[in-house]
Amino acid sequence: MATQQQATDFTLDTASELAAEEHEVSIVGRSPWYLAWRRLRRNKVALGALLLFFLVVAACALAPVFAERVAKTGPNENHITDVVMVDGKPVDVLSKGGTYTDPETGELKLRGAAGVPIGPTWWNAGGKFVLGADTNGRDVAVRLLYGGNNSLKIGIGSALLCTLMALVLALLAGYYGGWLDWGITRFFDVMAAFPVILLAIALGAALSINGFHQGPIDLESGSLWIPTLVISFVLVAYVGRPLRGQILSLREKEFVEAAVAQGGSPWRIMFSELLPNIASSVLVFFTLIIANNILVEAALSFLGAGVQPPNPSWGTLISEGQLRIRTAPWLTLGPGVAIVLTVVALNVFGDGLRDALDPRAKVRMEH
Amino acid sequence: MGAFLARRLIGMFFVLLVITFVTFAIFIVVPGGDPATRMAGKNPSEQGIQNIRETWGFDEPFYTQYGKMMEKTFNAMRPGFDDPNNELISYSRRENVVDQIKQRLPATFSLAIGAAIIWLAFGVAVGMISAVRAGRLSDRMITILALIGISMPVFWLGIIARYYLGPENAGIFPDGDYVPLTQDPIGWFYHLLLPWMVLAVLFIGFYGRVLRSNILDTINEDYVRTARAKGLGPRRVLSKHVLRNSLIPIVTLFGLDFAGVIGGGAILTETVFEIDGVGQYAARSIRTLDLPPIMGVTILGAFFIVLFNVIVDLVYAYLDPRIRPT
Amino acid sequence: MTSLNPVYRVGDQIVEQILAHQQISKDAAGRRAVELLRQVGIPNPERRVDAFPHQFSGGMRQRAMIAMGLSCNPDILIADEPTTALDVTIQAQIIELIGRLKRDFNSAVILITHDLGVVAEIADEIIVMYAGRVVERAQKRDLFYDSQMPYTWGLLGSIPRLDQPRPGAARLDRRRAAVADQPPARVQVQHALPARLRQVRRGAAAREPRREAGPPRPLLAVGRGQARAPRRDHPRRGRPRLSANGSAPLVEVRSLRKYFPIKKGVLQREVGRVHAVDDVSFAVREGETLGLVGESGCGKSTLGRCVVRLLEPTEGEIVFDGRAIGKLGTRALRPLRREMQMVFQDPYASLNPRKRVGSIIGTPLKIHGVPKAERRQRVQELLETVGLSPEHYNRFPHEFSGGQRQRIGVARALALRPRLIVADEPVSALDVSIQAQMVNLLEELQEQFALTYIFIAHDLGVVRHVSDRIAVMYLGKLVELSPAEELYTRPIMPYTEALLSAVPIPDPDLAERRERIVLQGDVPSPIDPPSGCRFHPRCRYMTEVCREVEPPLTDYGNGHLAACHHPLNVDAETLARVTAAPETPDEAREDVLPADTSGPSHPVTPP
Repeated sequence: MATQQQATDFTLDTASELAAEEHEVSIVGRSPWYLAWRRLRRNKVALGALLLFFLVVAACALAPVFAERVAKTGPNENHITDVVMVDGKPVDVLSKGGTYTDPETGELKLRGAAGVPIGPTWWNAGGKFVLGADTNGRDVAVRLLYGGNNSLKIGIGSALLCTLMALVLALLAGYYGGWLDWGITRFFDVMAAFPVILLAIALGAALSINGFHQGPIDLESGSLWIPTLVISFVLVAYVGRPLRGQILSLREKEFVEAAVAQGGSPWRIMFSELLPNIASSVLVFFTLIIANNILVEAALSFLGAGVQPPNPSWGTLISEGQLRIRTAPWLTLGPGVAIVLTVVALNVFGDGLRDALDPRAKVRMEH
Repeated sequence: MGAFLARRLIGMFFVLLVITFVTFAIFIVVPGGDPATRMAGKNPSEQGIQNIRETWGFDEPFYTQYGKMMEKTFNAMRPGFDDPNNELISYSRRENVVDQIKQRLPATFSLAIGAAIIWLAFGVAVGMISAVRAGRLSDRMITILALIGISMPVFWLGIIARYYLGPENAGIFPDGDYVPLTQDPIGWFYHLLLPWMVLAVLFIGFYGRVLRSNILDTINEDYVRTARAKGLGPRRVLSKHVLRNSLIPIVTLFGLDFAGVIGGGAILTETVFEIDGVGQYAARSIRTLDLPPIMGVTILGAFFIVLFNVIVDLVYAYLDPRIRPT
Repeated sequence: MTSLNPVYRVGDQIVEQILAHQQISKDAAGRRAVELLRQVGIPNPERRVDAFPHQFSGGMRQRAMIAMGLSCNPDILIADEPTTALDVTIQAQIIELIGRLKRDFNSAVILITHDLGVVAEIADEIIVMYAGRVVERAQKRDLFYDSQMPYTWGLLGSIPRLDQPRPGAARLDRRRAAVADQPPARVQVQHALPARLRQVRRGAAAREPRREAGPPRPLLAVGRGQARAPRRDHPRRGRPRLSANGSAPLVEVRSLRKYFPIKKGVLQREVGRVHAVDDVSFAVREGETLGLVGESGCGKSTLGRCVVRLLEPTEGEIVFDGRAIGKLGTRALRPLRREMQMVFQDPYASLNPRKRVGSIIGTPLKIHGVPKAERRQRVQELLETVGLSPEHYNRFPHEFSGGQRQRIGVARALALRPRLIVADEPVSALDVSIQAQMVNLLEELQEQFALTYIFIAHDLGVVRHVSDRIAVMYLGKLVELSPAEELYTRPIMPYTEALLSAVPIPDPDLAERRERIVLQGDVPSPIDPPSGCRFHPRCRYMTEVCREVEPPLTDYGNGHLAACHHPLNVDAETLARVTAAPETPDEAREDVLPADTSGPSHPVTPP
């Protein structure tokens, strides 16, 4: 009889229950989120990427601390005539050029081109000009962190706004259908037919002259809100369209019909039935959209339609460095590497997140 | 078929109408857009500004202005039309916008078509190789490279590549610039090769990833099992049954991306490599908030995007018999 | 169904196979493809070779697959569940086809199926598998009449039998099958998410020694659900009906129509309509079960959804408990939602995967204002009622098997103590042994809560066991409405006759003896249904009148209604009576409900 009982145990229920028996009997069910988290936890690469992203965010958030305590200069402070001690030797921040008399031989020597900024000191100057200086003698490391601060604010902020707008539109269109769906779909069509970068640049450039002052919205011309709003607006269709498609297919599911049959209100069905089911997609989208928006911000700022100088961002830094690439390549390399690192980290994490939330994808990869 | 095309063409017209209107509205609603003040130059007299307003029609209601601008745009596109007063003229340089765009089209098309060939060929190759070798080391390496490819800002890659591979360092490629095809085909190719590759990198990574997952999806389909059960060789199964179905979504992507590149997507590459194409023209006009050229380029871009939408639908219907209109 | 590549023509896919193995010209291969299609019974093969798979119906696709399989005259043809997704009349066609081709091509056929009826029809020798092992291997008759294996007994016993009028013996068998409670984990794995697959393997590995000890013996083990919910032996047919006389019907459907518009063209104008439900009338008395059967696309699900007002009828009226509800708006319907609920077909799609069981079952209570403190207790009671543990309160749907999920769906429907439950194919997605449990549960609940059921199914066997009366639908029309037993013994409508004859019976002797009527062709499109009697293109009794005149639903006495010009099984006397008064007077329709158990008689007078 004992063996029979065990045999029954074996035939019981689902796989996850079997797994649960291995550890302990779980009365509290394991939510899909928990299962996804467990899968994600095994993906060390994705977690490493997330850690890298958080490190970048933390570093950029601590930009003022770095500026004050280590570099001892602000992001927009010029040091054109300053001299720093590198390994105990005095070095001009910007080369003076001209000639000088060698104190030992008494010969007249050429100093090289004037105005070439100091290169990376790699901590040999006590934290000053770690990544060198730009042509105004500003500390590149400090500007890189402050720039990253701005780029991340815009990237994350616009991703948040964009996803939120897309989600609301997609929910309304997908749930109500009919004329509302028609209107929202047409809006998406038009937005998708716009040459995106062109539209973003046009908006960004136009708004950056005098800001935007209409009704309750009051934006100064240098405000970070301008690129944030512009980017989230022009990309809304790219998130909204796939989300709408998902909601349309969820809408056909029987559990939604069951909710209707119970007399659930549209709001309840949208927020309690539909939303939890697209939350995982939204999360993945959100991660990937941050990455995308950081790139778009960089492009806008590079073309002068994003963050306005002297306020730094990774895009403006590259734009400033571009002209000096022959004499001071570090001006271009630093922010570029920062962008690539951040975006790669987000993309890798986004991929891992998708695999964890949609296990089918995982199996496909193992094929 | 006819009804389908008719509906799409009507839709196209309306989309273009809305897009031009929105573009126009941006410059009317947004302050600082008043062109008369800027056109009057430094220290303008109030009277001078007023005069400019009157001659250019800036004092009229915005719908009249919009209508006139549209009319001028279409006038200028009509062949043989030659009436300087009724053509789309830029505010800052007083040039005929349509002519300016026409001059720059060959450069933009050269850039876009060349890059498209490269990204399509390499993207498909990358996707196939990594799907066939899924899970192995080579797949992982390709996946990482593809990820880095889609994570790089194209303009930064352009600057770096132009400097380090250009005459001052590696000396493999020339330093930017555009040589017309008619003038010197070899120089054309030589000068465009680097911009093509830089522009293609992003798409290669993207297509490779999409195709890889498409192929891995398709491999699990029942009809692929059927094909194997028929006794077909693995090569034939892959080429005829898997690839054909996996490539269908790529066609959509390709059409839309190609249109996007022509319609302003190449703006960064053109700027970085100093190729005097439509994108650079737009970038320059935006810096001076010169509405007519922006309008012209936007219409061009939107037109290509909408047009390719229709083409993609037709090609899609050809490739996938399930959605052929009956 | 998806075994044909959607982007190539059917003929080309067959030619590809031929050319892969035979040294013949492409033209010759093409001609062979046409020939093969003809042999598998595809009409117009010359034209059809150039069609794409999506232009074929499910049955035709399966025929094309068979043609492909036979194209190189194989020694063995392996058919893996060849009829599973098909309707019963199409299934009969395919079974017949495989039987015929087996002889014509002299091939051996390995038929993989879960359906013992199909096996009884065509197999010679049978292998029964359980949890990856062969548990029995026997000649057909030996297996069906003299099986050595308890598992096989269980399988045979669990099938609701079409050929057995009284549930007696079969019910006992079913009870025995229910003991199996759950299929082995191996079977479950297919449904489980792949990510969990590894865990299962791990779990299995831990028990490896036990499995090595011998074949699993699930049948002999007493399952948990069984221990918790002891069955009362309560023969359903014997229990007294609720006061049949005089009580008004709970639901009355009057001339119900539901059309779905098809829009096309530049202006999206309506170019056609799917006639999903077309002028259907019937009534359901309180406490009875009305079975609603028909092939896919006949409109039975649409009708069910109209009754609970998930859909708004295009025309006609629905009267629930004396109240017209056909045109009520969302708000007005809300209080009525307490009274009628629905149980859905797909146990995977019908539960929100992101919500806990407690919340799924508790939501209707929440919507209708049951205080939070009371909710938890009510939900746990409900869980027990449907044979689950109250401890399952905090679990998620993915942690349950298909049968358990369906129980959760039933608990959710019961939460508001409705009077009417529309069950849309509640067992068709479940394994055979679990189907029986589900049917038992539904019957118990009916007794316990005095429920009224509209039981929608395509499986005539299941319907026979649960229904008091059965309504047969074809292409949006109600073609026959009859007391359950009578429908099986004395079908009037030829379609019903064919439908009954198409169901494979898991009894080889019986299967051989009975006459099989195999309907030709597919169900026509409901967009443009045939004129006159909608069944006429497939009917073997068809005459001119069928093509032109739509037959009215006529009362043949004893509550047996049918719409046919050539009624079967009707004695001369009845026929004379019916012909004399083809239309029952209107007043009869209003209030006369016959006294017998068969429910209201509702002849529909054509306009």
